[in-house]
Amino acid sequence: MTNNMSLHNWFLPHKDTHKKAHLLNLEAMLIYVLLFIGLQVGFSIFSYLKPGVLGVAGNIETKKVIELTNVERAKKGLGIVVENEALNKAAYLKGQNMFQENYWAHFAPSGKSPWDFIQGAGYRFTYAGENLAKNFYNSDDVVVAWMNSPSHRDNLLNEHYKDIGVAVVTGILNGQETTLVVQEFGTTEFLANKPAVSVSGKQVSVPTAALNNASSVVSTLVQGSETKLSPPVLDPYLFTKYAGVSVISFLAGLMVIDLIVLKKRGVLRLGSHHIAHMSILGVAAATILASGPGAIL
Amino acid sequence: MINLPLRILLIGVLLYLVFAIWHHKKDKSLTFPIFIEYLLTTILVLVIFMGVTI
Repeated sequence: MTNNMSLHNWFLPHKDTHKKAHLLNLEAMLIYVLLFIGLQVGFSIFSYLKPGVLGVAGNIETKKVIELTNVERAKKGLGIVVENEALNKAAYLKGQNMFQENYWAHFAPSGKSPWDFIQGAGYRFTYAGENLAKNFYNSDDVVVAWMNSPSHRDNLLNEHYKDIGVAVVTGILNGQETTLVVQEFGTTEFLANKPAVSVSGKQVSVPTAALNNASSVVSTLVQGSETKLSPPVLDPYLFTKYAGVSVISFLAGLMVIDLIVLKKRGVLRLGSHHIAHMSILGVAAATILASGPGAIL
Repeated sequence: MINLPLRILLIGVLLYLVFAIWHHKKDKSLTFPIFIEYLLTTILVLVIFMGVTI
């Protein structure tokens, strides 16, 4: 028993039985799985108990988002969209409202719609659109994510739009510090159809009643003094990324050692399935490194 | 909408499991511990991936 539990048996195949290192056996794998599930549950509970300590600190600039949007439009031969103060205000109000009502959607739980913010900010549109993004680390990634999504790309490259407003708003969403990017497009030029807004790839006609009472809706919007948040103490996504890739690399390393040691001993264990395991671990490490918490809507 | 890294990982996991079952069925070596070993590896990579993206 003492021999079985000796230190090198945790990392190397057993001297006599040639069994896999303890850190590669089924019990160890189960512990790794439970540790990562526990980490996620722990982050969720901690976010609920101590809002704002965890989160993503993004470095996104509104001007850069507008510039990149126009670069993409220019590539397709479309006219540039011009920054509009009213649409900037609409985007800011929308972002603030998502934090106030704690939601991540085009339509608020209280019933507020994208056109409420756009009209409420004083932009009398005939056609408008909205793109949302959260938890991105820089402006380029936001626009790339929108361009990779057919519905957001259609919105970004819509020929009707003449104006644009962008807001980058930071606040607490579901207990975590979050950076939201709201992009509002619009035109006030006359179009044949009745006023509509493009959200999530769908054209939504604006109800006539909504056009008339926009000013009353905007009066209910709290323009809110933006509270300056200190950067989050820990980014749970980056922590999980580095911890995950470390564990995956460690396991792959142990498998390589296992193969080398057994080959040297001349007892190569064909039933180890190490090649298959290392392949999936390699794919997992690559995809985890290429991923991030950024989401678009 | 499924992003590209997730799509690649899901295809990888699917191939990994299908290959494992096919391989072990072929040489009649598919035992419960072997199946669990593949399953736990799959769950581990998916749990880590979810922790990074959701």
